[in-house]
Amino acid sequence: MLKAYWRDFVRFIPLLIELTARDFKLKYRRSFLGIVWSMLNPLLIMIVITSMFSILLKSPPSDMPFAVYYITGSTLFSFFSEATSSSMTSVIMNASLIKKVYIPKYIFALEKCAFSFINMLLSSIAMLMVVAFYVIQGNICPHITMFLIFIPLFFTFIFTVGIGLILSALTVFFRDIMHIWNVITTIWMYATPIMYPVELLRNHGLEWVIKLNPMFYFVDDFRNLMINGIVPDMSHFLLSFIICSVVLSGGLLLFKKVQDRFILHI
Amino acid sequence: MNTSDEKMIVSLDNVSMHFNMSGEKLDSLKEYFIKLLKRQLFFKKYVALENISFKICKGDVFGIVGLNGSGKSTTLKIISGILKPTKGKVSVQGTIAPLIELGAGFDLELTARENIYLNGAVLGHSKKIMREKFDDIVEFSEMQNFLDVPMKNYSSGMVARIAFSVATMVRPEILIVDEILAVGDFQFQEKCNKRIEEMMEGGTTIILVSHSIEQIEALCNKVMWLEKGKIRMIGGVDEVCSAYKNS
Ligand SMILES: Nc1ncnc2c1ncn2[C@@H]1O[C@H](COP(=O)(O)OP(=O)(O)OP(=O)(O)O)[C@@H](O)[C@H]1O
Ligand SMILES: [Mg+2]
Repeated sequence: MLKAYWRDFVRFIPLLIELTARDFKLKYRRSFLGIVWSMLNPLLIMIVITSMFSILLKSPPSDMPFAVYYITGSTLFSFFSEATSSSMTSVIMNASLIKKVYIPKYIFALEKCAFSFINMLLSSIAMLMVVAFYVIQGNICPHITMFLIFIPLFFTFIFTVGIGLILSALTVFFRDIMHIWNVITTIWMYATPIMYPVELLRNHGLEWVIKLNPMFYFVDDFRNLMINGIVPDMSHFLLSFIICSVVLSGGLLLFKKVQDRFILHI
Repeated sequence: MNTSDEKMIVSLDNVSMHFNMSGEKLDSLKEYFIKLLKRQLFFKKYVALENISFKICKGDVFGIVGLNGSGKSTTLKIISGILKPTKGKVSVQGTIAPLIELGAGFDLELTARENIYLNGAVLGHSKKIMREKFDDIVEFSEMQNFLDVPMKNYSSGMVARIAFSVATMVRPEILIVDEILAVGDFQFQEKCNKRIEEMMEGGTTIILVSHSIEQIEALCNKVMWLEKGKIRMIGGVDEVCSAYKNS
């Protein structure tokens, strides 16, 4: 049984690649700077936010420069919100295909996550540039732990795929989700310490918000490895692992349960 | 009739397909809960297919005829695994290339060149195979001069040419053709018929839906006649076609 699923997946890997390539072509077609926008965009937003906050905030959120603090968190979170919003509509958007050929339908949600992930890797170049800038300035120093960032990245990816599967399946039946998800990711972003220090929540007795927020663990581990040279606790990784497994298998099970009914609703 | 199980490539056993025809699809949570409370959920079913059973042997060219809405496309979709039947069992041995309606698996924003690779991947072929077959596909479709034009600027016949070329270039074990040949010009139709005959000789099983009874008579050896979701008649091409024509 599992073997059959695996064979099906392997057979459609070329489709996964082909669909990702299609998204790239369509995203950057007729654009002058093309792929450069993927780096330029987060950089510009960071500059806007940083200059705003340097006026508003008296003290930086941690001992690292605000620009670094912000861009490390937002790179990861933007991936999450972009990938989940686009996989949410992936099944509906590919209705014409689903109605006419047999394709394992989770491919569409997975493809959107993969596409956003590659975009995030491109925008990480912007993040690395900012980090390099402050290293040269002498504000922060580079750490060897930087090479371990693939661990939180991997967890974020799995978590995102799980949420993406759940959303894409539910949206077929309840289109309301499309309208509400945008609001939810905005709330979620503000509930994750991206622009403000963790202490802000702690001081207001809102520690449970971060405790319940998987994205906080990923962002925090990511920053610690990238900038602070701190390897997070094993328990942190274990917790991340459990969260990801639960969300991914929940997503897969839900998707499998309802996917045969998709075609009647798209 | 040949009954040895080894040669069965497609078999449908008491298959029924019901659609929910309540018109309004429940797309919002509010509606859903209101309906749930009023217990009005999923009423008014529409029976598109009822207790269909038949078998197709390896090498058959199986035609399906019937009036509009009789369930031909639905049957093909069930065989290709696109639709899961409400009741009954379907078993299929072998790879399927479905040509159901025009433009399946194309993104019309992309060029024909990009679409050929995309469509190949949709059918589950690797990039390597597609690269090898690319020139043949283009040659067969005769669309050399339009390769780098976005397919939204194609005519429907041109789209059909590309679709047919991709689907038949990597020889599937089962080819499913749903009326898409009707939009090709007579030259291309002849070419397609020839290609189908070649595939028949190569042992490919073909399931063909067409409103052109001449085409069915020319190509098929077995025919099923559907009427309002039920099998009206099934058997050799001559007897079913003459009965269908006289109805
Ligand atoms: N997704 C769907 N939801 C509801 N009803 C459907 C759906 N798909 C098909 N039907 C119904 O099932 C019936 C059979 O449709 P089908 O497309 O199989 O007809 P057909 O024999 O291919 O007709 P044609 O000759 O026009 O192509 C039709 O009455 C149609 O309204
Ligand atoms: Mg039809």
